[in-house]
Amino acid sequence: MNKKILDIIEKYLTRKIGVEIKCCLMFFMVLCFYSGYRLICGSMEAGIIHMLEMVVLAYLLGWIQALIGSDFDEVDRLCAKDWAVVLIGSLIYTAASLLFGWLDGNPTATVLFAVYMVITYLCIFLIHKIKRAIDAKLLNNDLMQFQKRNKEI
Amino acid sequence: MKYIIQKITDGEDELILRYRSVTEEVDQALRFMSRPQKKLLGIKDDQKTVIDFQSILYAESVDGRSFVYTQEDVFGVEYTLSQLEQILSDVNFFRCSKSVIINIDKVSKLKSLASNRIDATMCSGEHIIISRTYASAFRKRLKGVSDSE
Repeated sequence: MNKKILDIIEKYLTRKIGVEIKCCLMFFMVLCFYSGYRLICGSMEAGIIHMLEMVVLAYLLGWIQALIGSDFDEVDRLCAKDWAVVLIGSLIYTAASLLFGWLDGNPTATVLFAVYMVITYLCIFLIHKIKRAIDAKLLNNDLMQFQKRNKEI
Repeated sequence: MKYIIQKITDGEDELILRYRSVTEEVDQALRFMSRPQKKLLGIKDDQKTVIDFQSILYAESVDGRSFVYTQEDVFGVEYTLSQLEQILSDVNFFRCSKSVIINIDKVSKLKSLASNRIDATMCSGEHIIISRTYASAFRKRLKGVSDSE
């Protein structure tokens, strides 16, 4: 197959996998809050439709974020644009919780959910940052060993 | 053993070793002096200059022309980047993007970037990005694993 086509497919798959990982992470975090809320309310049941809405929303937001080129979770420092993504993203999840009735329109739970989503976004940013720092440390160790090995030769 | 170090202003750089018998110290110097000296012809301001491979930090292709960068200078060379890659293949050079080859011995620091890219800081302070396509091979090279493994 043409190398250019293969490059395009590779780029698309890399982006798609990235979006799906983010989608899983966001769905997991939203589901945790939702499940906690249900338990506090004394219910042992969760709505399948609610979960489907969460997945679709997380997937859509993931793609929008990827298409507008806002990799806020992969930057070194959050700039104004990245903060806007964090706040707008949290706001959309909060609006969806009201629209789809995930939290039964409970105002306290909704406010807590908005704060929780901001913290979730910031945690994802921190996790990526820590992951890159660990990777850089390993890379520099390998580089040092490589240069030492070649000096010995 | 007596060392004589002399800085000269003209003439060719030379290294002379005078010894009676091969001691450990002499043996080390001999091994250093007998290593193959690989050099490249670079052009700067219409003047041809011989460049030692080990003084090259990186080579870059810009608008179809190839340049090699040392700590102080930039030289044009009459090779394509692919040819340079072949010439420099048995030294520690690595193709890190479509248009750049770096000397791994001259990398002072590495930083992991988003999307599996790597930022290599050269000893001159310049930053070279190792693209996603080449990053995995670069990691293997550092670990001493061949690319096919």
